[in-house]
Amino acid sequence: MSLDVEVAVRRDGFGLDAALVVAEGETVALLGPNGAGKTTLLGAVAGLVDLEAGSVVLGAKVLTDTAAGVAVAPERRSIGYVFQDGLLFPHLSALDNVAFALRCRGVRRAEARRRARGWLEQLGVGHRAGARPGALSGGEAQHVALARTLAAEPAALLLDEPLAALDVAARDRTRAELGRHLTGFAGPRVVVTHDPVEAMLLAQRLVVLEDGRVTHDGAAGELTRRPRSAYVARLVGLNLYRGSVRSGRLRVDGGGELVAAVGAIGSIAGPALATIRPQAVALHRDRPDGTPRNVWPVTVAGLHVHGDRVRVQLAGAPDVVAEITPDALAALRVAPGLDVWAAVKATDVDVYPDLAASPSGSAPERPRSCAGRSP
Amino acid sequence: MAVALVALALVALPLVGLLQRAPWTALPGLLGRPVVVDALRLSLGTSLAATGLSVVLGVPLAWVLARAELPGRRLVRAVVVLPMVLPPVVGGAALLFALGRRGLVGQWLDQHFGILLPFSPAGVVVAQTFVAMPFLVVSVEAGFRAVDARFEHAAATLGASPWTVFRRVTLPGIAPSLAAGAVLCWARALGEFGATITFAGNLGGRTRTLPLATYQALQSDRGAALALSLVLVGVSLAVLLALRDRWFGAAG
Repeated sequence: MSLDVEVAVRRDGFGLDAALVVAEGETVALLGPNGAGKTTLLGAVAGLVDLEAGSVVLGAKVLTDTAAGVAVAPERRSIGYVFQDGLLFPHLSALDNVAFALRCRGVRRAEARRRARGWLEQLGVGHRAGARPGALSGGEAQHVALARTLAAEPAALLLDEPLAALDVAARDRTRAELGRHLTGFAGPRVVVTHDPVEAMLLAQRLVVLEDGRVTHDGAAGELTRRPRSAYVARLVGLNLYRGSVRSGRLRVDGGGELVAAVGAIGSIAGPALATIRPQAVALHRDRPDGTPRNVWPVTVAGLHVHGDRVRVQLAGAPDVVAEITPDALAALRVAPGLDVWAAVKATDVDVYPDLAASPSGSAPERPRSCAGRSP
Repeated sequence: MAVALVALALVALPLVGLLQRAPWTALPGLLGRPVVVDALRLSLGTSLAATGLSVVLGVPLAWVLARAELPGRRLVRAVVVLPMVLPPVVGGAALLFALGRRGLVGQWLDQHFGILLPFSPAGVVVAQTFVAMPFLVVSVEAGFRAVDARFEHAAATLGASPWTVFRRVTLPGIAPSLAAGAVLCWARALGEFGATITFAGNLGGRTRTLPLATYQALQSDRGAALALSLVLVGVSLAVLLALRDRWFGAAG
């Protein structure tokens, strides 16, 4: 049973146009910045958000089809939804929260409580059955919320930032357990997150939603290697350039040119993207001679420490983020406002076709051509 | 500072006067008098009925005001809270014109069902509900607004029908507002004077409620008037006590 979603939602100034297919037993992570429409998309699938147009199909069952006037009520969709902060009913104990789902399915009270206890045990929070939600820790509440959703025996599972409310220590442990429970669930699963690590640990496939549109849909490795948007590039810490290839060079939108290894760029013509790892950017006080094919003057715009390295933000044509060692920083006496030379080897520039920017121009252009990790 | 003291005195002095004149020792005897007992029984019955009616009618109304897509919602709300600012006597007169024997609806009620509301205990209930229900509606509407709709969404995704959602999620969510609104509504109904006397008259044992009996007794039987007043003061204090967390919790 797969989940097949294609929705358009318009709401005061915000538009969502997204398609999503999740196979049986597959976990898809939905990534995106705040306000991209991730929660709205889940709401549309669960029947909580009115669609302007589109359809939601779960297996053979049409849940929404605006063209045919079909809109199955949320309570008849068999779509489990774990909300961002759990949303346990505050006036019911953990046990009764889980039993609520069973009672709604017509299970008698005593039997519902017996089975609810079983679900809590299974999720490792059996000892907290009598506690009110207010007395539960973030991790416990999340487990109870998952138990409650699973107890309703849904055919598909939606989780909205299931770990966002947890502190760092609880998050690591809960993430592993959540991964186990997700794998144990047979139907399609969608996990909303804005943490790329979480997305890669929980899901087989990543879908990136930006400004209400899907900008990436594919395996995790593909996403990190060849990002297609400024947001994803920032997420994985790469410099991303959008431009067009002409006679073996990438002309960057907004100024500048990049040269890539002939083998990589030779087959490309037209709109293209290029990435440069910040570690591959070398800085020099004077214009360097020798092998690097890309050398251009830049001005230091900002510095910040990133682990045991220093990230240097550089303004120029194009902008670039370099990652250097503290030793190099001291040797260069880099400080904001200083003019230096950036150098990148042609083999460190990865150029690939920009499929979204097809000649028909249907996809929206990103206004920024460069993205490093912002401070 | 001095002005504040005057203000405080203005509010507190009448109460002190009342308590100072209270015939504490004779109180049990006074409270046993038929005048007092009749008024007490009638008032309890009608005010509780008015509160019940306000809950049954007021909760759906509050829900509509808080949740429904309603054109002219502000106008509807203004009409609903009008009795809170309307002089009760005017309210009573308006009820008479609407529900009296010759009234717009009263005529029809009389002809088809033989129901005559004015000058009956049922009329007392109607007058009290008219005046007191807005207090409940305002409180419950605020309650509905405060309930996070996402809890209702969560319940729906768990398979709860709209009625189950309302009964098991929304209603518990508004319970504190409903309780406070009902207590306030009941206190207002119990103290209702103007609309009652205008619409339902002042018939001993039928429509003479506690406030009416107090007013009546003041002319002839001061002891009974004092006893009745003390009952109403006691109720008011109890209401204050019951709602103290809600009203004074934040201010300390």
